[in-house]
Amino acid sequence: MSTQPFHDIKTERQDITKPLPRILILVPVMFCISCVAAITLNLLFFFKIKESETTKIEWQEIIEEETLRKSETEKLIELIKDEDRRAKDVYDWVEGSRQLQPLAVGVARSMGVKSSIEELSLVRDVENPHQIRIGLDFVNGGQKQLDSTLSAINELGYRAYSANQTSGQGGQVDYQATLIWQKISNNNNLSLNNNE
Amino acid sequence: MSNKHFGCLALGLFIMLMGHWTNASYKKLRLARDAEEMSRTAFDGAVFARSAEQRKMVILKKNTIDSREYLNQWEPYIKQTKNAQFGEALINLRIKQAGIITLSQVYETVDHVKGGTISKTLNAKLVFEDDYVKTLNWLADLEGSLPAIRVSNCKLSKGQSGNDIKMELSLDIPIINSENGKDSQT
Repeated sequence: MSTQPFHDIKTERQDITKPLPRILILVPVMFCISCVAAITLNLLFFFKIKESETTKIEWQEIIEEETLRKSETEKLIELIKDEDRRAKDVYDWVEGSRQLQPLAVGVARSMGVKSSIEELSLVRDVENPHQIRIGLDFVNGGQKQLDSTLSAINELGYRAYSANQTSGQGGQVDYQATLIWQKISNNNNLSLNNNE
Repeated sequence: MSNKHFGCLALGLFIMLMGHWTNASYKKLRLARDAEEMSRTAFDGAVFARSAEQRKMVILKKNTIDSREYLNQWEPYIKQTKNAQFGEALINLRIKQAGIITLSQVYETVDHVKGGTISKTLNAKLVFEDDYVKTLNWLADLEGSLPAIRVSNCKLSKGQSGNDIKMELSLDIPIINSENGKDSQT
């Protein structure tokens, strides 16, 4: 068997193109580098985007929590305001509901032995219930007795305003005045001792 | 152009496409980061708003501590009478317990302040004639045991015999329906 090469069989190729410039060898190299870089960077960006989205969701959850806490606080504020409003209403009511019995007893006890009450009326003003209109009709004792009664009223914490006094026959005295509780202006603190 | 040129052009186009893809991803990343930053800023705003509200609440609580304490002390007395029937029965019970002679008694439900805490009151017009001490002690006991009661009118005059007095009373009893009222305590 012959070991001669077949060079002689291979014919010259006539239609072969000219080789590309040497510089274009960089194109496939750049392509490879680009492929690696693009895949790496996109993977990196993908994970970073996911991380950012997760962080954003976490922030939004905390924001929702904060908003919820804020709305709860707003509700509490409304409750406190409502309680304050109710306290003022109750205060107004209680201020206009001071016991009248001590006043009636005080007036009755202030009467001297000879004096006698014909009629005693204590009427609260509709608009200002802490103001009491007193009407006292008594016999005997005159001015001295009236002073003693007014002193007893003062001791109970009331002061008489717009007084009107008429004296009739037989030592009858008709006294009318508006009584105002004196400690109202001095006592700004709300307390339970109003009726004491 | 030969196939080699087309090959180079195709590779060049692929390189450009990959660059564009990477750039688009980078833009997405920047958008995501901007959104994250906005959320962080929004969180700062939310924390600030919540802190401001809480500070407001603390100040309000501090400023209203006396009035709320007052309300806590008085509300049970104000709510003693749940409805007009209950108030009427309560007064009747007190009268029966004392055994005081009653000449007349008239009850009426009256509107007090619309929208206010005390919207209605039970007005009782009572006329008694009995012993002076017994009558006034009864009044003291009534005012003491029902501190929210308001005696809007009290007229005392001599009775028909000895130590008797005639007492004409007009009482106002606050009626708070606890179902309608706000019971919440802060």
